[in-house]
Amino acid sequence: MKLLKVLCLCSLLITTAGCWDQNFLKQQSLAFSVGYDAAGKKIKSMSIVRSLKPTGNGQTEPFNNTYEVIGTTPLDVRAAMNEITPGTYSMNKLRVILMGEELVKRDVYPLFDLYFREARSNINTKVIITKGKAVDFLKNGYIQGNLITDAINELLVSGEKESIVPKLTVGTLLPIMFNPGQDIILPYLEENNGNMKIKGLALFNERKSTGKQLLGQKASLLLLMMNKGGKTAQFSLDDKGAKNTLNKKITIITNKSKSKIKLKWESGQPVYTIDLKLNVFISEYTKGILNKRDVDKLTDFLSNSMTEMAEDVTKTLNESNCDALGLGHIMMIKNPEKFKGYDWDKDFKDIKIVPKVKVSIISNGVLY
Amino acid sequence: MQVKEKPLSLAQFFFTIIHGIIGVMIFSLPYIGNIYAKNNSWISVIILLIGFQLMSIVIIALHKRFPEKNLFEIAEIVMGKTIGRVFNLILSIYYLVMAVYACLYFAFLTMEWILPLTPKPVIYLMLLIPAYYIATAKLEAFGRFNCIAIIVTIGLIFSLCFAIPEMEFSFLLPVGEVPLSNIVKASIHIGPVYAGINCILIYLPKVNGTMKAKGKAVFYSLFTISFIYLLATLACVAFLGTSAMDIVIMPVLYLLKSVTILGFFERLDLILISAWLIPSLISFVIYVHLAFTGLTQVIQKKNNLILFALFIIIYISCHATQLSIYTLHRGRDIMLPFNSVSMFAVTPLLLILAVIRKKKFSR
Repeated sequence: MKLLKVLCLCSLLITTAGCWDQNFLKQQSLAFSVGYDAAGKKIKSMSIVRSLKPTGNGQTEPFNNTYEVIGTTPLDVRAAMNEITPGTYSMNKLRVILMGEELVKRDVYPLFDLYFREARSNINTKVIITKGKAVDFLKNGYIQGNLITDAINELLVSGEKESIVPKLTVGTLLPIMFNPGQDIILPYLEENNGNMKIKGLALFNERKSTGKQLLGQKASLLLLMMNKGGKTAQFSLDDKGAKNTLNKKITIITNKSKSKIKLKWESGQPVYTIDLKLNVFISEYTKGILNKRDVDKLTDFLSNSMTEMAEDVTKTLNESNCDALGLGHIMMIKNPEKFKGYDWDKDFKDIKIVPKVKVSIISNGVLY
Repeated sequence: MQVKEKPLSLAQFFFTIIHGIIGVMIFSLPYIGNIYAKNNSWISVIILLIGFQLMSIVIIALHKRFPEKNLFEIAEIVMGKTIGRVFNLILSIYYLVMAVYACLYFAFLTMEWILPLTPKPVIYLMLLIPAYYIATAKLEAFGRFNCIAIIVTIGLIFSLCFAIPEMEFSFLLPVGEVPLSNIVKASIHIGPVYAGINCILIYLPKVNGTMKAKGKAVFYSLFTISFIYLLATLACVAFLGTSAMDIVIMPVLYLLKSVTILGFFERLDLILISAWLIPSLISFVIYVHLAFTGLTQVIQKKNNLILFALFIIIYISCHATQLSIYTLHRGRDIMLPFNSVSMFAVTPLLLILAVIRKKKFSR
């Protein structure tokens, strides 16, 4: 019996299953970023594949190779990449997917199906929309001497902390894409004299880009209204009454924010009210000492300015038919029967949204 | 497993029940619930929680009448020798089929997620060889193994918690939009994840403890299992939403795929599904043991060669079945009425017959 048990254990060696499925790292071309652009009815793609080059004394340094192909679908593109890259082309370590703004005017789901469907794909990949062509972003392989994938990734991470872009990956995109009461928004970047810049958010409707974006502070405000902001958000507001240009800006940094969206029905029409409460630090105020009365006046001014900005944001969302706030989802929860009477993707533009921002100043900084 | 040996402690018994019931089908549980109950599939799991807590009372009541007899021995006593043996034979064949299903499910999961190129015979052997080793081990060793193996289940729950920031709990609402009939239908279709429940009546006679302590162990172990299932369902519905879950067959694994712990632990689905070999192994061994115990009760002979023969039958049956998601779903649908009868009808039927025929076994 003991011998049988020992034989059983030893026979497990037969099942050293790694032999069939082993994937040696040195035999793979690991793509760290992929860019997709429209090329007529096909897709043009550029991949950044990282390799290691020896620098002497047994040390190695990573460097980027760029490969460009054309295919019909992302899987076709991958097969074409495999024909030109040394080793097996692998997207298991993909960090960023870049999509050109022309390409995303079509339904974006077919571009993501490969990443959703394959068990081996990395769904923690970040997705960005590029102004112009994604290929132009990636062609140099480096930004200011830094590896481009690391540079884009770190830019996005800092953008998430500063509430400029949402914390979004391929995995968290899937539920929003399939939710009938919500539309996706993606970070919108541009390449500017060899630098990358986060411009704002690209707005989508029915999984296609609307061609409209929310830029700068408006993008941050939208994220705060969605309760998807990062640790802080910065807003610079114009004081139109200021005589001096340097005195014109008042800058605040949010500490905490809370948004509540309520649905009311008025004469059979839905009205959404968004109450956004912001606790802010005054980080730039050049007009002198802030006494109690000035703080109260400033609070009112900031609340009104932020409310105006929020109204601009909701107006842009209505015009582009992009329900980034998930208002349809709220109606689905509260009044599911009434939601069925709407073709939400088309009717959203007529939905009334009333935002209201209330600012509370919690700190003036270390100056009075 | 040897009968006359050191009994299981209450803790070992507790963990044995948990692993006997939680198997490989936990990964697709939220998907099955979502087919019928959509965003209210968590209510279906709560219905099952209540149902199985009541079932635990029935199990203990039956065990109280026959404290030293296992399920198959009780069947022969209350039904008579002939009908009892036919009943035991049918039940044994059922558990053999469940063992084959568990092996196929494990192989499918392994091939889809981690080892797509490894030949199927090798993957079946990956489960069957350690399972045979465990199945022939002493009861005490098996109990200790189950105590250690709980680390994997705790690891699963721990990992699910890291997805909380990405969850949208409004996906669980509204309550009541889905008709109650659909919610109950979902409960019936999710029910087979508790298919190993009758293992309780196999191990109860071998547990060292008072009746009250054993009853508590059964009650709380079933509650723990239901709680884990509820957690998995809530997490998946809140993370993916009901529309996305229509196409994601293994939502628990998909959720784990997107979890990152401390910024560097990624692809937890690969780690956990590899580690999940252990709970799959245990639940498979328990199905085999149920079949083995039933067969030995029928033929009145105990021989480890019968156990070996069962493993060979399982291996051949796995090869004879085409391995695909469609076969597994079809198998689940075919087995559903048998699962429901074995889980909800066997123990109450035996208890009712015992009460009517005034059968009791005192020490």
